[in-house]
Amino acid sequence: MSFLDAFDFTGKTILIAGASSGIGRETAIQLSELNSKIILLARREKQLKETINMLTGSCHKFYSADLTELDKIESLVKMIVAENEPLSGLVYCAGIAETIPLKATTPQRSEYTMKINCLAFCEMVRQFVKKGNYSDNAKIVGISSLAVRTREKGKMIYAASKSAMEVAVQAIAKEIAHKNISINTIRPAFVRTVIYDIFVNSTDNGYDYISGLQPLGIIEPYEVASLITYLLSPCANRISGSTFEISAGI
Amino acid sequence: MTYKEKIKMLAELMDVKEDEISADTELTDIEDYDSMTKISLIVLMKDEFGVELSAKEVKAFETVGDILSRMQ
Repeated sequence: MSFLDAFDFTGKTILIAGASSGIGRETAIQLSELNSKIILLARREKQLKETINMLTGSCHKFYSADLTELDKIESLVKMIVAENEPLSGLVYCAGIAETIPLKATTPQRSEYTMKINCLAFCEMVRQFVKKGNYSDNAKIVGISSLAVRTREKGKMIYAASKSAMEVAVQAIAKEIAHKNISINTIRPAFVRTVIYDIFVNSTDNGYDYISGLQPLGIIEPYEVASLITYLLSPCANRISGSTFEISAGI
Repeated sequence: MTYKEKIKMLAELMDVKEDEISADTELTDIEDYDSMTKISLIVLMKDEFGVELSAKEVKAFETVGDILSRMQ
């Protein structure tokens, strides 16, 4: 297989959770340009429809679901596979990235963050690796965060949830290796997304603050999507249980 | 929410006793009114009152009364 052939996703179906904006949306666009069929999953139907209109090709589908309802994920994945075909890949970009100082944290908020950032991911993976739900050499990529390493103030539960996700992936990798499924995570620093725009527009010096923090500047969503694409390609057949940083020089 | 309940909430947020603050209290006189407290205030205002404060608005607050006036 030539290097370029590795990036022809013809015949592959990739499920992207959290595809309504940011990294998920960009990944969907990029993979559709490489001939993949995309199944978009997110809570907000309006944004999902916007994303699907941005994709190359017309075979793509979307499903609207609240992934914090963990016990509904099994039937959701079952339905997606039944209405389409076994999946070649799962990309998990769903989650929240709020800054919540310790004193503003409540048990309910902590539980919600752990659920959407980690537990829903683990449940999606558990369903994905069931026989009949995946195709040979399937790949899973989870989006973590550089917060796992930087551990800034106000990121207690967020960093904890992403750390939990990363550690879970290392253990899962060993459990699913015999199925020829690989699983990895990516840790980006600050990415230019809607959350970023809100932050910059609501502060006097938001842009300067982030630029000062990240020597190589703000990460563009397509840069994260490109690494996701690489990890979904046959080039990454023997990469599993790893975390890749896009640190922007931090 | 009554005035007393709002003061109780802010006192807890700023880690002071309820009788230590009133509407006239200058925020610069409160030791614990730091950047994390300001972010917590934004979270609390959204959760409890449905008020979305911008960082600029928070920066402009001078007294406890300024915050109280937005708690409705």
